[in-house]
Amino acid sequence: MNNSLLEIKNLTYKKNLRTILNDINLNVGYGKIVALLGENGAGKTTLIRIISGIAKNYRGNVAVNGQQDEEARKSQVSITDALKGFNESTKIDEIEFFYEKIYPDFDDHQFKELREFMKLSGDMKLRQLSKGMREKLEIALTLSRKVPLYLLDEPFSGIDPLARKRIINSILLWKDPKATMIISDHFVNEITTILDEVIVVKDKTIASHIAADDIRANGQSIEQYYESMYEDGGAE
Amino acid sequence: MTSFKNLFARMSKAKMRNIYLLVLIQLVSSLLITIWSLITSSGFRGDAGLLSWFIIVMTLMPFIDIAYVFISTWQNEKEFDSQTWRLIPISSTKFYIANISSAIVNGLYLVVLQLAMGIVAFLPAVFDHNIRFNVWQISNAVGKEVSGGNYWAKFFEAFPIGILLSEFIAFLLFAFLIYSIVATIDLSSKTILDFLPERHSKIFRAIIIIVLVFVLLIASGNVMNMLYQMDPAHVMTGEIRSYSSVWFTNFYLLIFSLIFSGINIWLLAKYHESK
Repeated sequence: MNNSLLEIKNLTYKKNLRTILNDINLNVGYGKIVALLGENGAGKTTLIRIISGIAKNYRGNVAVNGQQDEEARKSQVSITDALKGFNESTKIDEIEFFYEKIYPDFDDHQFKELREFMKLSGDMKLRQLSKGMREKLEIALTLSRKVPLYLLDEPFSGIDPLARKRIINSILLWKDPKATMIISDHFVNEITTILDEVIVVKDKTIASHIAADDIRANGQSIEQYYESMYEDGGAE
Repeated sequence: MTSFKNLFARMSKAKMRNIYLLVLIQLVSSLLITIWSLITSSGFRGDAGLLSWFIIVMTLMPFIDIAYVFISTWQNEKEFDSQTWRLIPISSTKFYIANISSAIVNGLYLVVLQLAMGIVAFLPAVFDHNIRFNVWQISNAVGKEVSGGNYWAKFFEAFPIGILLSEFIAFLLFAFLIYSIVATIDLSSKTILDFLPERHSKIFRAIIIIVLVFVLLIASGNVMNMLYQMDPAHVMTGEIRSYSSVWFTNFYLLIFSLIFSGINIWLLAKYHESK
């Protein structure tokens, strides 16, 4: 078996006559928690969309758990979704039922535990949820699928600092040890303790992919390391 | 992988909300119009008053059905655009078929509900002696024919089952074609937009849609001319009403639906991105 869960080779993506990602090469192994860092507009979300099979028409190869075909790749990936496909009057229970029917890998028992942990009630409607509550629901739904790769795109931006800490500290409990989680976020400080690797996207490509322990061994914090990547003032 | 059956069931359920809303609108508006017309004595007099609700329900039916075509078309495109739906691990072909067919099946369900509403709306007419007598006469005549053993023979003579079936299929294929054409215009305009600069995207999109509609109109005109030339007896085009003419129409509806669907599935698989 290949040691890489995620393999990206020579990935280039253009949209609206602009190059968004250029010649990306990346290998991520099993059982890791990885931070995907970069400025706004660096291409983090696009990279996540390509991995999950949402963004199309790219050049290069993307494989998750050995699966290159988009349909097969989607079954290997669980990504935070803004739930825009649901009517605002949809109840959490109804969304849970939708996930249960649509995703054969959805663990209903785990979702119920996560929902309680996030202090969400099943009869709450989407329109009743604040931004933070909605993000909690998105995280709960994402982590309730049993897949090898989780992609969390800025999952904590609307969640209050206390709850954020609680969620981040318990992520390890909800994740299968063999599964990998890629978290794209600006709150570097709060996720450093759980990180195994750091990927920095800069100038439309992967500027750095390094083990968190190597950064720590150099006497730097992950935040310092990330800031040092932008000492020249950033890409744009 | 998600099964087609599960995806179809979820998509149907998502569209069902609009069906009930439309039925409710038809029910309430037909009741209001009936009450208003009876109070103001405009239109319905005497025995006709008992049939007024039924007549108004039936009159509103095509308008509600047209509204459903617009709403379901919009909803189909919304699902093609939605990340929630497009993240589902299923092939683009199955995704496309589930989306379009759920809209068609829901449309049939709407018609069934409307017919049921029609039956309920007819009930007040049973209070009228003349109408009751007419209904009794018809059922009596049907009963005699059935007991005589030649009812079904006469029924199928008046309504040939083959023609009925082929016209029902023509209706389904026509709905399939309409949804497919709208999806082709929507998906291809959005795809073309991805290859143009981001600025003025709304204006660009409007221009692209106008051009695409124009091209489709010219192309369909040319194709119809070609069909007429290939068919001097006008059998295929339906001017001579026959069993074969309906099936030829169905054949062409199917071919065009498959062409547009093929384009749509290709766009969904290779280019179109959800938001």
